[in-house]
Amino acid sequence: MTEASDQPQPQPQPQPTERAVARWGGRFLVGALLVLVALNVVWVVRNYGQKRPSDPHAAPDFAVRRIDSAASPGSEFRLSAERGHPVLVDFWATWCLPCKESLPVLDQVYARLHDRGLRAIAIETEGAEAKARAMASQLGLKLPIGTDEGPLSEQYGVTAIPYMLLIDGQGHISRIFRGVHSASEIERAVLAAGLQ
Amino acid sequence: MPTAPTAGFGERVGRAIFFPQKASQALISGQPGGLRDAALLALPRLLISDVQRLSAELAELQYGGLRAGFAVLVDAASALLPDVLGVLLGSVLMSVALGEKERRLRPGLTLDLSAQAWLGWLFVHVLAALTQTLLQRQPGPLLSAALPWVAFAVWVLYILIGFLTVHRTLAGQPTMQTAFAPPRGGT
Repeated sequence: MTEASDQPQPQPQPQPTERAVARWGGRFLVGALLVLVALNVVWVVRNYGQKRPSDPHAAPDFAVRRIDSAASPGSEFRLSAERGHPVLVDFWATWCLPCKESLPVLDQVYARLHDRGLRAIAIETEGAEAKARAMASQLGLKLPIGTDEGPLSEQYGVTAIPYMLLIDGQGHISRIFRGVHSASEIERAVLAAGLQ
Repeated sequence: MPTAPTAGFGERVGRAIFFPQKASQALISGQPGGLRDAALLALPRLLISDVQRLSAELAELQYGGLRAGFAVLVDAASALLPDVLGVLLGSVLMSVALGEKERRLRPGLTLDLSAQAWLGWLFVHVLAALTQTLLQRQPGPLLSAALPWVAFAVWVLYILIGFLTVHRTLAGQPTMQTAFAPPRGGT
């Protein structure tokens, strides 16, 4: 990297050794990139194969402790107990600003369709129970609120919030909502999932 | 004076990493490379850094429909955004520093030089990832924190080398404007 030329020439001839170093260096970088890509793909395929359940659409069962004001102390929400009902499972956190928009929408849908069989749980993902209660109170939420410190969101592959799953009455995931959605869109999906 | 034979893709990439000044001179003389080579390596770069996250999102397409598909595209684009912005910023800074002299260059040369410098950044990351894979261990916290900065410093250094090469070439050839604007072709 010390060569310099003040002569008016289009380009100096590279030395054969220099060309060889450049050629092999370039091949090394490209080869290493391809090896790393291949290793990543193998990891993904193997990981996906291990994690994939026998029924790929089945929502893994879970139980979370309820912290909403309507719940009795120590009560929990268990997914398998709601079999036969469509269930909306929402993941959120107190620091998440879009969640402050999406939670009232979910609450509105829940209030409208609960009598027709819709079930819902809004799961706070950081175990910040006091803050979650305060936020639920501030937003005036009436739907069940649960708390989980991370394992459940990891199990469901939640990488960004708001993240809401619609699980039909047979326990199959029928829709995933990322970000904030309108109440009408969620209601349409719930009705399509088999709500009477 | 005979011109250098046109280098293949591998040689251009290697030259950009090990002989950045020569690689910059090749770009100035109108040889291919720069942005085009960087663009070819952008997809593998995305795959080694984000394939796990993107594959998880792709698996959700069956539930999320078009909106989930759009989210995957946005995530992929945002994963490459720092690289793209870095290349653009390097190009703009070079153009600003060259000022009036930039008119004597072929269009897009500063973008090619900046993209070529990105290969140095990529090389540091690939070397680190390969070492980590071969050793089968995660780097310590200090190394993890230092690595992005080392790669960034290499990128900046290569941009500087590219800039100085252009500057020196322009200073040495004040009357050969046409030499800097040859038709681009070949591979």
